[in-house]
Amino acid sequence: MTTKVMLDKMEKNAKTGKVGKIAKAVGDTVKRGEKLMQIESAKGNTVIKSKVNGTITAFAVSEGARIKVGDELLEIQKAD
Amino acid sequence: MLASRLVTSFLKFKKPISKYVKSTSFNPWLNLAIEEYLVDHVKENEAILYLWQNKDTVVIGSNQNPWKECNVEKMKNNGIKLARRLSGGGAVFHDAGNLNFTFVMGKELYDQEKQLDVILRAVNSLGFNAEFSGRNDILIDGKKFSGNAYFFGDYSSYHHGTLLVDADMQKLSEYLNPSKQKIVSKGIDSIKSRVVNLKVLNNALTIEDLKSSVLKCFQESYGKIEAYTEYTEDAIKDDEIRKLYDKNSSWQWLYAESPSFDAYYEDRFSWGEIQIGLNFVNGNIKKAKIYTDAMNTSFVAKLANALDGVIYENKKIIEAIRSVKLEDEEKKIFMEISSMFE
Repeated sequence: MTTKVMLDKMEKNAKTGKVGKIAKAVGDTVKRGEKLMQIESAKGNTVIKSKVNGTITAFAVSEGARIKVGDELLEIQKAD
Repeated sequence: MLASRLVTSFLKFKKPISKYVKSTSFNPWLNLAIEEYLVDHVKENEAILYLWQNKDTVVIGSNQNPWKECNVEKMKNNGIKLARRLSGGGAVFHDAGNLNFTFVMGKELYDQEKQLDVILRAVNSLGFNAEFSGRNDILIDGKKFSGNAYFFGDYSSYHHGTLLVDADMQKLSEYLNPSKQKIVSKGIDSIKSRVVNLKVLNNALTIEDLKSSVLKCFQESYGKIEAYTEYTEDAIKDDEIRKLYDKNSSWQWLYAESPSFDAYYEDRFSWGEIQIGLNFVNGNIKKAKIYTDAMNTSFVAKLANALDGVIYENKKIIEAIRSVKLEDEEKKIFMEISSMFE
């Protein structure tokens, strides 16, 4: 099953941010709790971590992209 | 859900356990490792004030590009360390004339306004008239003496900042000035500010005065210090801090952690003009685009091939170009091209 990772909310009620370093690539396996990417807003830097075990099938954003709360970040094919 | 809200409300009103941590090391990689260790281990009801100083260092934000933000080559030549922090924001220069503070808090205790208020009171009680800029800086008469940045972990967060007391402004501008190399980065760019040392406004001020004032104001807001830890260079003997130190001092963290970027080079030689565009991912050349008006362009593919996967260090790029086996004429061209990276 594929799960979409969304930018549900940002710290300190920030509404927009910029995609920083993306730690993974399409095809990489990820474990729950592993770092996927960083999102930086004027309020600070947040690490987005995986909530599932699986394989990354697609990215909806790239480094440097301006994003807002509610945007899709990537898709993960769940392993279990 | 209700239970978690009740815990949250309870924590907001319960007196936090107030802790003070100091580092006597001036090594930025160790000091940042200690900071990361604290944010990994702080308990939800703990408020930690951590004071630390670095010797000649440029510290870049988590999503920044060192080649874009500072003069990497000059820093290497002059023994200036590069460090990358977990928080966002722009590049700053640290030396022993600068005091760093970090508020490490459990998620629910974290309150940016309250933390900033500690710093403002600490500075203003020494006779200054400082105010928060709203853009993460603290200013006096429009000039910045403190830059603030923030990191949010899963269960804890930190807010840290600089306090310029008597920093070497010449070094600050010298090293925060990148080489003329044109770089287009996907990362966060720094915003240049007019800066001032507090000592210029009050010649009697010392770092120790400021430390005492910050500690006093921290206790006024978070209660009397209940635990004090002083880290020395020996902190590195702790396995967990050692691991964080190794990360903080690694090429991988300092350079390859930069979001992707392009670097452009151009020059004119007797055989024609050349433009080289290098796309870097994880600090390595992922793609080299080469344009030339030379009559014979057979060397272009060989050059692109030689550059593939090379890390962004001028020495390595020069080595890669010069190590290609070529006939006489092309060898001369490659030697000249390699000089563009000297």
